[in-house]
Amino acid sequence: MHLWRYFLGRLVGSLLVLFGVSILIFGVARLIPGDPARIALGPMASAEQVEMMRERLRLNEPVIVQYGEFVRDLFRGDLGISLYTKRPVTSDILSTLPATFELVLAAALIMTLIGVPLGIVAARYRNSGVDRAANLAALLGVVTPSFVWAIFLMLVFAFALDIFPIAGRVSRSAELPPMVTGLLIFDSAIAGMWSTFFDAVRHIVLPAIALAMGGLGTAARLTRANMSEVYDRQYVQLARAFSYTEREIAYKYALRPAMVPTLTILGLDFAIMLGNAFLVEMVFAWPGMARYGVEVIIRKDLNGIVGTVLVISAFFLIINMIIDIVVAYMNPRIRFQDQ
Amino acid sequence: MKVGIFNSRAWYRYRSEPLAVFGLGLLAVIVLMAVLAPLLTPYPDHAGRFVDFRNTGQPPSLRHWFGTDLVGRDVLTRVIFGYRISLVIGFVVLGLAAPLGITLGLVAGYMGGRTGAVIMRITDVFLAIPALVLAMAVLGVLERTLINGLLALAVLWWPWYTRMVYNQTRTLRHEEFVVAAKVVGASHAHILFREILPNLLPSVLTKFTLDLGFVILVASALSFLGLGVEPPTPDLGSMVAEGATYQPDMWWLPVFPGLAILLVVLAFNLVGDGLRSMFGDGR
Repeated sequence: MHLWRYFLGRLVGSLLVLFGVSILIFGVARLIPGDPARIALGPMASAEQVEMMRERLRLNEPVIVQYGEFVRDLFRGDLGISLYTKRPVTSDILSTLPATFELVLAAALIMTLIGVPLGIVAARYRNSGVDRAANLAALLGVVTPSFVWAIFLMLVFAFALDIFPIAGRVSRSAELPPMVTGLLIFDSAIAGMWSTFFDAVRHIVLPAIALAMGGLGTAARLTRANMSEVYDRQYVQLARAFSYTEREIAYKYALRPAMVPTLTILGLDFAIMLGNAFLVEMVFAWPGMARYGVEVIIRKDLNGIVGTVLVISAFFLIINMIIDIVVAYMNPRIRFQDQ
Repeated sequence: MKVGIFNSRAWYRYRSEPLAVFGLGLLAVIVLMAVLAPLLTPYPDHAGRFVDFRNTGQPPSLRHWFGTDLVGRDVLTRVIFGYRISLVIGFVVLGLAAPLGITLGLVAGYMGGRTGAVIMRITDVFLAIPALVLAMAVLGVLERTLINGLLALAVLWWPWYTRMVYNQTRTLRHEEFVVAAKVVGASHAHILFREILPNLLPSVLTKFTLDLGFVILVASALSFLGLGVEPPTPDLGSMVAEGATYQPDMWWLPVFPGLAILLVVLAFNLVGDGLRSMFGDGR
């Protein structure tokens, strides 16, 4: 009941932020120097053609009216025509989004499944060699740009050792499963096409690790810091006095309170990953949103830029909402905070 | 002057963290190299439009420690010159973003009410767009100059300071020293900048140091995507991007500039961590 009210509040809040994002990015896109219609059509186009394009893009109307019509179209799922591909921005984005989502999801999984346990181990054996090694590994994860990770991993594991494929999402020869979720790994598993499945998994390993490294470091350091704090609490000492095992203390008492602040920050890491996916996708020629995003930006494609940024922000807000709700579920104090 | 910073209690606390001391040393070396680049580098003219076609794509050797690039320029020289632009970007971006963000955070936290709410909602909007994507969009629409690049990064960095300062100001504004200043009739500006701000300096300074590294990291990512400074100015991110096309044959082209980025970010991080434990709000 209360959780529902909390959820509703967060939903309204997120929609308001998304509304703000749309104003911001719409405004930024109108800062393009020169005439976007002229840029789209090139120097050879006649004045009439440019005028027609301006009409089509509604550039002759006041900015407020432009924005109003933009929002109206948005509710119908229409983000306008890309001036670069000449196709609807919505379909351009929909065709590339699943690949990016798959990559970010895999990276988030790696980040959580390796980063958090690393932090737990470091906190349990504080100031030991394990702790110091974990700290150093975490630090290296944070300070190395994801495109540098991508290149290092590619050089070592794809070129030198030849364990993983060099680039792409799946081998050219692989048979593609019918599209259900758009995520190749799931789709091939659903269709029972195991050779494609393993091929896709092999392809995603290096880019996902490269993308995960930054967040992995943060996750480990945060888990360690937050768990260390809990370890200093008296109820942990009490539990020790009652001769609970260290394992019980770690998972029953220390982990849960430590995960609350950690999860919130992991949400922010997700945002960083969405941005960094651009870099990793460029290195591994991953067929996601990156190439499209970079192209529309370099070509000053008005609708393309607005659409890309809006979709990524919406994606980010949804993820954060889910995390907030999980956190609220874990911590009743947040649930009842505003009452 | 025997009682300087090196004899102070703060330095004693800083010194007790070996990694922080290592970071400070590393940072000093990097800054010195950047400042003295024209004197230190073996081939200073390779930083510009230099071409030597007899010497292209040489692997690392005693003459060229980091090898040479596709037009025969010494990679080591270009990496050291690349540090110059990186450091300038870091300091200028934060020099713009931090004061703006701090002021807004102070005002929002102290005033509260509607003013505070409006400022914080705007902050939320900026924080809802992944930093790199926002910078790409801003840079994409603007003319691709260094100034615009700096502005784009500053635009995405101020909200972090606003949020941090806001939260701390909220807890400080009912403290007795603030109330006392109010009672004796101090102006709002005095209370904000003379009473509250000094209390925030440790955390601001820590964040500033950590962020110097992260600004450099994001800037290198932007130039990796082709949205950075124009060639032939040596820039670490674009050097990695250029080199990436020629791996694995010329592995030294992306690897050394990549390591260079890693090291400078690492240095700022270690120093930032050291400052945090020196100010005593860590662990």
